[in-house]
Amino acid sequence: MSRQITIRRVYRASREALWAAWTEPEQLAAWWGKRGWTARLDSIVLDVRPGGVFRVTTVNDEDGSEMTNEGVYTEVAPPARLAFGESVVTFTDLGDGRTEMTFHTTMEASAALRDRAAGGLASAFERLAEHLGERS
Amino acid sequence: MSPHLTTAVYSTETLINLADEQLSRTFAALADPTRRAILARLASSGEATVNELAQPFAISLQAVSKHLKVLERAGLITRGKDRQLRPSRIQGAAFKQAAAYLEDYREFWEDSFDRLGEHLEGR
Repeated sequence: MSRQITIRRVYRASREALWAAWTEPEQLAAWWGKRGWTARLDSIVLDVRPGGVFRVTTVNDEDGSEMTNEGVYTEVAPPARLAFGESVVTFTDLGDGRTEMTFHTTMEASAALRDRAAGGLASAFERLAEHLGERS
Repeated sequence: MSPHLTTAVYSTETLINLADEQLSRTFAALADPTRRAILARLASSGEATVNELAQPFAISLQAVSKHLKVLERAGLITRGKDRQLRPSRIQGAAFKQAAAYLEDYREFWEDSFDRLGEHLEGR
């Protein structure tokens, strides 16, 4: 088991289009989050420059619970490479109108768990509490 | 914050901190190939002593004992009370928790990137 996650996708779109989708709030709001969750446009902060803040809050369509992803941009090289928090996304022009996007992230237990708690995924926590209780 | 969390024995903040520590220990324990091999062995054989676990590895009993201690602290195995043998067996809860956590996180990105495709391709 690894704490690293890498995902590769090929899109029928230019690198510039991908870049805009990642860096413009209106566009990010259209795709960010698990299915069944909607990004709140008024919550989105994309201060796209090294040291700038990245923040998105998504709302669960059914129960209204919220979770927030946030980080700081560390690398901003349009339209090729964007690094924020523990994640790096790169865009490669395939020369035929398509772009390969490679996303790599390292799990940060604390951040993701806080998201989980904020997201109302209480059952996972209850299981964990049981587990911790068993051990103490 | 979900109302369910307030019914836990711990305060939410304490629970998160405990969860952090537990997960960090679990991931650190799983990062080592020898420890993963020991877990795989226990998964197939059920229970094994330090001697039995040391056999396939070119390492000392002491080294195996150290690995077992790490796995035990990570909640991945339990060890018997018999002072001499202390047979080890797999304890699934921590492993399941770590796996579920990874899966949940991956799903977030997979779903987002599916939606990104739909957004870019105007569907």
